[in-house]
Amino acid sequence: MDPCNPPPPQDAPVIETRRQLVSALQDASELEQLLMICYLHAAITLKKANEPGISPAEAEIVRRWEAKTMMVARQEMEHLGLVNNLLIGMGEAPYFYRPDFPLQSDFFDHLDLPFRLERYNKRAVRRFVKFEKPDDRHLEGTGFDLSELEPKRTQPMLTGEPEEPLALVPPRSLRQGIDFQSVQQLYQAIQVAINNCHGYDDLKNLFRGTPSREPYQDFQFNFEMNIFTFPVTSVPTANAAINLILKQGEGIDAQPAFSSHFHIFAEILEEFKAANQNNPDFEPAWNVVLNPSKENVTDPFALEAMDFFNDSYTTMVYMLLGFYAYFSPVSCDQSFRNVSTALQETAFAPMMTMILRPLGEIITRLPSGKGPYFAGPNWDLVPDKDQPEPTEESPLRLPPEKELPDFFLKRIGLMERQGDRLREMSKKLGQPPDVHKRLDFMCENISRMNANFRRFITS
Amino acid sequence: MKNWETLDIAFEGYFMCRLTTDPDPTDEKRGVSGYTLALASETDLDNYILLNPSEEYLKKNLRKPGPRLIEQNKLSLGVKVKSATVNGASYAPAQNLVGGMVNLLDRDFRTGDVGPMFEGRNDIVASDDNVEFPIDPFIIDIRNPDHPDQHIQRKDVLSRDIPLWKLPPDVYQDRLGVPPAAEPSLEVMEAIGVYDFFEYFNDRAKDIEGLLKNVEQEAAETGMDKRALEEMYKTRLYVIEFFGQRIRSRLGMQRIWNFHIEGSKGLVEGIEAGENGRRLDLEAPWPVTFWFGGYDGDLMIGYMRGALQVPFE
Repeated sequence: MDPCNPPPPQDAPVIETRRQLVSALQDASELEQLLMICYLHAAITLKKANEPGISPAEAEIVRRWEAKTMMVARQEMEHLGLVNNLLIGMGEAPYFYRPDFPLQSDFFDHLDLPFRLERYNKRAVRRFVKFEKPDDRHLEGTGFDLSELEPKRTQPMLTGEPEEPLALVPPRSLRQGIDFQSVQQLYQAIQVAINNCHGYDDLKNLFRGTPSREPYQDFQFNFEMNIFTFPVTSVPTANAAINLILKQGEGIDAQPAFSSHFHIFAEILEEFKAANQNNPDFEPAWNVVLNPSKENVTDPFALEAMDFFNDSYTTMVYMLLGFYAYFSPVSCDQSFRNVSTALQETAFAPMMTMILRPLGEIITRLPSGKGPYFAGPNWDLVPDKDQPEPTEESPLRLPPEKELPDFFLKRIGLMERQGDRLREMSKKLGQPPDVHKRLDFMCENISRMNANFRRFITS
Repeated sequence: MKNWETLDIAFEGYFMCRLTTDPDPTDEKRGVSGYTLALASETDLDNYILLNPSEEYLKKNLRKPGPRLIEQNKLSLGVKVKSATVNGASYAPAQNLVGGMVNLLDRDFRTGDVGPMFEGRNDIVASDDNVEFPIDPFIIDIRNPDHPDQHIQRKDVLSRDIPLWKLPPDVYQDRLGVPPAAEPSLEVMEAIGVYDFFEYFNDRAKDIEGLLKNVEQEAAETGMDKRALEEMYKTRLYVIEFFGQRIRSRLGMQRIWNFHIEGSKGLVEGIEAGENGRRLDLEAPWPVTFWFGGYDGDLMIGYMRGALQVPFE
C-alpha cells in the first residue's frame, strides 16, 4: 500500500520537519512504554489457580487473559524496538524515557484516557480497548459496540479508593503544535512524513544512521514468541515497521479474524461480562491499590520491595538504552561487542522474566498496609545518581562508553544488595514461605546474572 | 591387555517433564505465558525429569491424549531397559534387568516423583528454547521391580556442595548435550511414530474439541466441575493454536547427551560376577549416551533413548 496514495485526510496532523518527526517518534516511544506497563501491571494482578476467591473454571479463563495480555505487552516491546530502530536508522539517539505514572496525557484528552496503574478490572479492560481502537472506518463490520467504552469523563472508582489529580504531561509533538488524537493517527502521520508525501525539503534523506550498528542485524528474537524485530534503515523498512505496528495494534489492513490488540481486549471484555453473569461476585484480580505510591502503600516490607522493583526496572531500561545505543553485531570485532553481548544476554529474558515479573507478582500479593488493598509496583524510573544530569532531550543518560561495564556491574551489584536486604526482611517479618522461596530464587538469579555479565565482558 | 568389552544396557520410552517455558519465570507454578501449563486440576509445574512417574502422579497430571493415541497404543509411559548385551549378544546374567525401569534420581537418591530438573532459568543457566539443559545431579538407577536382586546405580555430581547455578558454565559443558539440528530428527520421528507435526496437533485439537462436547458426561463420571472441565479444554486448545509452530517444532527436536559417569564408585548388585567370572568395573568411567526429544508440550511428555556401557574389569 502506498502511504501517499490516496492522500492523507485533510484534517490529519502533518509533520513538516525532521525535528517534528524525531519528537513524534520519541512520543511514540513513550506511548509504547506507557501502554506496555499499563498492560503488564494489570496482568500481574490477576489471580492464579489455588489463590483465594477464584474457582477452577475462572482460573482458566483468567489465565488466558493474562497470557494474551502479556503477549500484547511483548508486542508493545517489539513496537518500542522498531521505533528506536527507526530513530537509529535516521542517525538519532535511541529514546527510552517516559513520564511517571499516573498521568493524563494530552494525547488522548478528547477520549479522557488516563495512564493509570490499575488492577485487572472491567474499567481497565475498557480503557485498553480504547487505547487500541482503530479509527471508526476500520471498525465497520467488526460488530464492536462502542457504547461499551468508558464514558467521556472518569466514572467513580470501582473500589472506592480516591485517585489523586493526574499530572498533565504534554507530549513533545503538542509542544511543537501537532496534536495527535490516537495512536493510529500518530503512526500514520509518521509514515506520511517518512514517505514525504507532502514534499518537504527537511524530510528528504532521512536515513543517515549506520545500518551495521542497528540492533537485530544478526540477532533476532525467537519468532516463535510472536515478536518480529528487524533493522529499519530505509523508507521501505520503515513502512514495514509502521504497517506491522498498526496491524498488530489496531488491526489496520488485517484479515477479519486477525488477533489485533484491539480485537484481543474487546474479546476479553465480552468474556468478562459473561464471567460476571455466571458469578456476580467474580473478581479476577488481587485488590491492588490504584496507582500504588508511597502515600497509599505504608507497609515497610512492601515499600522496600517497591524500591527494589524500581531500581531493577530502571537497570533494565538502562540496559536497553545501552543495547540500542551501542549495539555491535557478533560479526564485528570491536571491543565493545562484549558489552553489547552482555546487555543482549541480560536485558531480555533474565531481567524481564526472572526478576521483574516474579518481583511484581510478589508485590501485588502483599498487603499495602492501608485499607483492604494490596500493594503494587509503581514503575518509577529512578535515574542513577552518579550519572550526568538528565536533559530535556536525554532524560536517562549513560556514562561514557569505556565506563559502561563498571556502570552495569554497579547496577547489578545494587540489585544484589537490595535483594539480600529484602530476603532478610522477609524472614525477620515472617512473610509467607512462598515469598521467601521466590526471593531466594531471585537472589540466586541476580548473583548468577552478575557472574554471567562479568564473563561476557571479559571473554 | 585390557579388556574393553562392556555390558551395554539399552533403554528407551516416554518420560514426563512438566516444564516451565520461557517467557514464564522458571519458578512459575501454574504456567501463564509459556507453552506449558498446569491445568486447574493438576499439580504445580515442577521441572522434574520423571522417567517413570508414579500412577498417582499420572492420574493427576497426564491429560487425556485423545482417542487416536490411546487406540494406537502409542502412549506407554516409562523409560525401560530394552536389552542387556555384550558385543551385541544377549548377556544372560543381566537379562533380569530387561523390562526394568531406568530412573534419574535427585541429589538425595530419592525415588518417586522427584528427580533432577531441567534447570534453565531462562538463559541465566540454560534455555528451554533448544532443550539446552545441564543435567545435575546425574544419578542413573536401573532396577526391575520383578527381580529386586539386580540393581545398577552410579552417580556423577558436578559438585558435592555447589549448586548448578553457582557453577561456571565450562564446568558443565559436557552436561549440556549437543545442540539439536535445525531440521527435525528422523530418529525421533521414528521413535514416536509421528511424521506430520501439523496433523499431529491438528488431530489433538479435534480430539480436545470432541472431549469438550462430552464434558457433561465426563463431569458426571468423574465428579469434576463441568465448567472447570470446559475451561481446561479451552485452555489446551488456546495453547495449541497460539503456540502453533513453537509447540510443533519441539516434537521433532532431539538433543543428545554423551559423557562418562565418573568420580564415584558404581553400584552393581546381582550381576557382579558374570559369565566366566568376569566382574563389572565399578571404578572405571561408565560411558552413557542418550537423547531427549519428541516433546509434546500439550501432554508434557517426550521420548528418551539411550545406552549405558558398564566396562568389565
